[in-house]
Amino acid sequence: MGNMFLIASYAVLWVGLLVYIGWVALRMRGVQGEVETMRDLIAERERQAEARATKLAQSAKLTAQTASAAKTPKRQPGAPVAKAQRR
Amino acid sequence: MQTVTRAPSGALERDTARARPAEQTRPGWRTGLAGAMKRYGPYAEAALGAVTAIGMLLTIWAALVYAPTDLIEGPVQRIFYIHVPMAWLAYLAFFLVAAASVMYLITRDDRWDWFARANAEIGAVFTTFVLITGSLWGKSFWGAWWVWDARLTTTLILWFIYVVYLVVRSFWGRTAQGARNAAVYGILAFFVVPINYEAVTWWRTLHPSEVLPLGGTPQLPPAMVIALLLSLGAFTLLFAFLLLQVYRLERAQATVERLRAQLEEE
Repeated sequence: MGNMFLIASYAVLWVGLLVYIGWVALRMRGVQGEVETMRDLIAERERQAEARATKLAQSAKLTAQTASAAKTPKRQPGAPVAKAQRR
Repeated sequence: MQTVTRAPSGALERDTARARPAEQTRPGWRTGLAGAMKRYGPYAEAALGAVTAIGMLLTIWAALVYAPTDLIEGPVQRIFYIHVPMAWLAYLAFFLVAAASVMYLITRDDRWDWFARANAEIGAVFTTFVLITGSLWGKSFWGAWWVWDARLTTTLILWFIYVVYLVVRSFWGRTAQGARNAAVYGILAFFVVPINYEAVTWWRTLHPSEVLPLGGTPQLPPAMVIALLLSLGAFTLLFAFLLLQVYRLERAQATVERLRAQLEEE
């Protein structure tokens, strides 16, 4: 009878410990997967933000060029060329 | 904004390092230690796992073969070689919860909080095994699965206290307020440990008294003491191995929370 309780104790301990270690490993795997997913999401968002910033910078540059071109007076055909321009 | 790049290994460590920019200004020896841990950590961990496995096999041999059979209790007395070390290590875990909680309240460093949480989990698991193996021994020797004896009752209370600690911690989440509350709880909870330890001397109990009294002579034959010490060594290694795993898990979960917060901010 005593042997039965002894075996039961050791069995419960070893099976329980193995289950616990397995559970910790499973939780670790789950968390690591979650970390990787979030890293990918953050990297993707940053790529999108960078692309948006580049697009904005290009559009701002284009606007500035258009504005400066509009400010420069256009010479009418047949009009006399200014002195400074002639030099 | 800082660019996050995906790396196949060591990702969690870098995340955690980013979470604590103050660490970048650590003194040289600490940086060296961190570097050594990063480089040799996996090997040390594998070696610890291997030594633990060997130690546990030796424990089985010592407890079931080497140690003599008790004349009064018979073979069921051999439960003692797993029951007692687990109880002592549960005490150690609860002491470490309290110590880490004090350190958290002083430094407000999250690592102490993760350490306290990991110890509470392992302490609760070990106490569960102590209760189960004790109950099996009680059924064989006393003829009852459970008696409302002072030692057994205080152990059950201790188990409930740390299970509640873990439940409440998940309920509070990983906030500074939750960590502070848990630290106070962890310190107060430790006061039950000395009561549990002294229960066999303060009250008349059915539970056997201490076989290795602190500062006294062992009340066991040398072969039993050797088997017990061997078992204690192996279970201590197991405790260290589990603590390392659960601490890493806690750190990884904190990283997930931080990344989630970062995503929500964006």
